[in-house]
Amino acid sequence: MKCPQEHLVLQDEADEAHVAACERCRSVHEEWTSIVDAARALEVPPAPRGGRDALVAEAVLIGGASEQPPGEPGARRTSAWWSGAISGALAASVVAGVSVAYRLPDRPSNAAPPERAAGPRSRAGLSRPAASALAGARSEDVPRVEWRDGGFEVASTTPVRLNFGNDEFHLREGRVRLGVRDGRLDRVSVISGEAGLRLGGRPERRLKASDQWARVFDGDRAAARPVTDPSLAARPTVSKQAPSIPPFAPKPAAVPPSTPKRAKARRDRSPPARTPTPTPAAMDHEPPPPSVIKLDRRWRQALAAYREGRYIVAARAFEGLRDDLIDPLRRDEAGRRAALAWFYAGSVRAEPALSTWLQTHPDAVLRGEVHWARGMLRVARGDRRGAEIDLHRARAAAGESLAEPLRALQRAIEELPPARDP
Amino acid sequence: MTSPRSRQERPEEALVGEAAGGDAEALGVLYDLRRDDVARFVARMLGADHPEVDDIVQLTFITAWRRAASFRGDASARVWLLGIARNLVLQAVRRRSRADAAKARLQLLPGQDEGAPGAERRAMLAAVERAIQQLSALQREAFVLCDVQGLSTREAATVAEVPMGTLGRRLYDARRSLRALLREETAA
Repeated sequence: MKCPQEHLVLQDEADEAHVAACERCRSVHEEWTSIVDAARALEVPPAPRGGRDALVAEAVLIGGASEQPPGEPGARRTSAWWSGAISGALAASVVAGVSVAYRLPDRPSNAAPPERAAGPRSRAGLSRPAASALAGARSEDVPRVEWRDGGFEVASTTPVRLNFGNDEFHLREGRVRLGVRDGRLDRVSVISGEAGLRLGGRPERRLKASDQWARVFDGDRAAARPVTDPSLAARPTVSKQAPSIPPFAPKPAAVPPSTPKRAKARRDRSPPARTPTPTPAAMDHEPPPPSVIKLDRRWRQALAAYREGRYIVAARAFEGLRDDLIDPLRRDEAGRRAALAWFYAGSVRAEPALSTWLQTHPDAVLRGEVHWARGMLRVARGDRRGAEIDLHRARAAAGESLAEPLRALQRAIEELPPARDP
Repeated sequence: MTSPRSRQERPEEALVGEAAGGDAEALGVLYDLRRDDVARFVARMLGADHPEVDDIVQLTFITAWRRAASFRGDASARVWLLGIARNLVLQAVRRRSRADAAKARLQLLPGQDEGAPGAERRAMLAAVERAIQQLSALQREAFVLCDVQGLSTREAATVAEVPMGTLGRRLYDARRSLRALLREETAA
């Protein structure tokens, strides 16, 4: 009669004694031992290059404030803005090329300096390239701006000023939809919060949630000066107002509405921009506006520095990109992680991260941007065929909204040697 | 300042405490000590070639960082980390479609070559990997925690958030299923 037991694991001395005496159980046990040995010998995926640095840096930037005990009132804010800062810069690097003509808000020179991260970050005693490059950045500086058909939507928790020629629109807090026609503000719909509108220096008109305004019913078309530069006119300049300034106070006339002081100061400090030599492909169409050229140059600088292992230079270039971009991936954890992976661990890890994002976000509106980002990574490692696939898919997903960045990708692909047939 | 070497020798629970105090480098040391443990668990649960393995490992430690202040020391830091990883794995499993899972089961491990030296061993490993992936998620979890990670039944039950009896039953079923699967494969 066969022994009814199957001693897969020996629990005690009685089991051991039984297995030693019972041939069948000994055979079962040996078989099982070999299975467990094999299972333990299975490969452990190697730690990604830079994985530890990425982890520690992310921890520093997160700040660990979510579980901070009460009594440390600054912890959550510190955490939030550092997290936002890094995600802003890094996600911006992923979506570089999107919304290239935006001017992100600048903190006016008379505004109080931002709180600096303290506590967790300083105790960590780390000096990370991202931290130095992003010093002073605040996530709250960045309102959310999304292009829609014929206009855009703006959401912000802090006062934001948008300039359209000599018309000004103030969003104190909340969400608005703005329509633009012929480079001028054409209609306003306040979804939530409060806003204000000043047309051609005339007294401000206050708008609250659910209020709507349309120029056609306003009767003051003549008050709005036509804008001469259509490439800039269609996209407003956006600048953040200092919290200390009353949100709807009239602005001194001496200050040009579309030139935030900090942006001007930065431009003054920057070396003169070099005009890139147009490639044959680039000469086939209208030259891109200066903002696109600047963005393209910064992107290439960041990429080149990254490829050469000059991470601090790359981080600063990313920071420069952040000034000109919005980052629709900001609120997306997977996108943020992909960007972080790219920043710290290179395309080896970032490419699968972006691929995973594409797999897990089949209906996301940002697929075009992410295909574009992956295409740039593939260009960086010389994968022409892969980059072409991403170019094609980005075009299919995003169409004209990514026209300029995709032209840049096309040019970068054309600089690669032809792909060989497998 | 504590040197990295002396930190490596400190109890992991103390490292969690330091992380709770905002010391990111303590988290880095914890990563050095436990990254492979977590990666092994995640890889066995999802399959070694699953695209999210790296991210889940990283996210495990980030989550640990965020929750360090809530670590009470009732279980070891290792068990605590595996518990976090387990929750993240379950989320990933829910995301993974059935089609993907079927595809993963059919994939052979790279480098398998019947004629090469050591091919038999590699074939065995590949078969075990495939068989583990064919277990139900709960059985796989019990098997990986107890037999691969070497946790006691009590520790594994803590990670899996079930009573010890339940865990024991799942483990028993997992072992029987695994043997049966491997026998089927051998016969085929």
